[in-house]
Amino acid sequence: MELHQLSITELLDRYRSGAASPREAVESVLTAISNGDGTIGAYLSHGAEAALAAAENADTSLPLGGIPIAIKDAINVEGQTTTCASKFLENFNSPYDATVIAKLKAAGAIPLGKTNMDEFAMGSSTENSALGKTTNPWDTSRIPGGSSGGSAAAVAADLAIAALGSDTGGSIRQPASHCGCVGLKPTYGRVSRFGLVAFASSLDQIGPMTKTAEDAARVLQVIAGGDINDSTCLDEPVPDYLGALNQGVRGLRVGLPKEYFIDGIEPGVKAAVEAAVKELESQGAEIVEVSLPHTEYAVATYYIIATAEASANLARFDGVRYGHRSAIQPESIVEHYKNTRAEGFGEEVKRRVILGTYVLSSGYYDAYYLRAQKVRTLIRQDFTKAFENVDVIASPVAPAPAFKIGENADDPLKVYLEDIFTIAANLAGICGISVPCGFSDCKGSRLPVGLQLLGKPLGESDILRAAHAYQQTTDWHKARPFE
Amino acid sequence: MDMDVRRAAELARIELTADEAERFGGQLGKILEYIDKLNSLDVSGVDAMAHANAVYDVTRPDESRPGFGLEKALRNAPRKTADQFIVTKVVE
Repeated sequence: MELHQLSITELLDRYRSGAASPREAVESVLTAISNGDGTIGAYLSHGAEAALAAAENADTSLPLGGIPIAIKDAINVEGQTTTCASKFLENFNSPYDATVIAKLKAAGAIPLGKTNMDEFAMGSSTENSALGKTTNPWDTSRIPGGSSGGSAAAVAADLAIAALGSDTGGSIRQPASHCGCVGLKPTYGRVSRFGLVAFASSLDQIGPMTKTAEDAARVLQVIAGGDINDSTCLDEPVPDYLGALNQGVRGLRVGLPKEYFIDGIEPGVKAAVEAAVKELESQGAEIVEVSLPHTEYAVATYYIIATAEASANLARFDGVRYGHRSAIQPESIVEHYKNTRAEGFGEEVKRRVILGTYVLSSGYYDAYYLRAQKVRTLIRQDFTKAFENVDVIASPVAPAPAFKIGENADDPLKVYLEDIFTIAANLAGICGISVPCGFSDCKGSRLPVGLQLLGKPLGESDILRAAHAYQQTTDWHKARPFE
Repeated sequence: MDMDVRRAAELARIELTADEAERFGGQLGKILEYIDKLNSLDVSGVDAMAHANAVYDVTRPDESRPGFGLEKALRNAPRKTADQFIVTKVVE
């Protein structure tokens, strides 16, 4: 195996036995990118020089010493571009490191490359990127999922050892499912958002996208924890995620929400997820039916709250301090804003900012925004109640495997419904992980399917150990698209 | 549910072409129609939730600490001169 094909754990073993060096690993990833990223389009920039320089001084005794990690292009890495896949920020050069980047660097990791995404993380297919097209490594006529589609495709195609993504309504878990890698969305507040370009501040979380659950634990171990620069970041102790991995699932109570196993799930997805639940049961987990009665309201609630928050967050793009500015000579400041924002934002971003502005506007606030906040409470209560009886909740990540590029171009609502199983976790603030659990044969393509495991607030250890136990007896996570 | 797209776009400070206004009107109308399903729920007596966790003020000692400095602050300015941002005239 070439170095770029290895997991974090395997690469650390090579370093520690002297069989490989960080420089060789960085070179291997860069070579893989130059050979393979032409068809995948996972990256928007490479930062090769900075990565090679960091590799020279890497301390391999550190937890992630010398490990190259790809970064979603919504996260600031000092001295590199952070575009959010938007024309607005096409030339934005980050003046500082996000907290997660500072923590990764302190743990010895090497940021290598910025990955493609839906513009400002608004989308589920990466088709909303204004700066490039990313394809699914398993079938390049299909989407990689999104919004962290570049990170997922890079990990799945061995163009990265591991990556960071961000998840507002499923943007880590859904692309991980579609591409066949592991994606972990931490509990809201577990990981600092400082330096992540904000989409919906009460929902956004950064998390790892990796080849194994063990690797996800390694990355989370480093990036979790309080931060004075993010007042919503929880100052709770970070448990030993790695140490808890090998506890197995004997006695673990796994809930199956009856509302998640409904008609309309693609048969291959249903079969793979059911088989995965059986596997957990055969390892000693106890399977319990649970109910999340407000599931069908999650998508509607989300598209009010997320767009409302986005409309406020994206007000900062004014064409004065950074980013795009219209060259048209304005008659007034309002015209300056309107032209600048019309030229800088892509279609989906405009649609969502307009919707968010509308639901917050005078006369509609109570009917939409306030009502959605109340339904959000009901959705959270569903989970609180379910978690009284179970430790984790298992479900599909998405109702169907990756769709064809362009298939839903004119129907945003249909794409929004892609996130029906992932969105509620963000609204409730709980953690979730996507784990490869099989394949579905769709019109001649063999496409990855993900199992979602949701955990209690700060229950990352539970979902990581269940995912790890599953990966000890199954090989789905080892499948690669080019074999 | 009909939505006044032009008014919302004006509030959002986004100039729309005629084509965009028409297309977004149709798409957002469909989305609002879907969102209307929330009206079938009884939410009387339910508290509104803005955040998953309790949000409280976090303070640090009021001591000066290094900031960006000129180069970093102005690095991405679309228009600048003499170490300052150039802004569009606001006051007549």
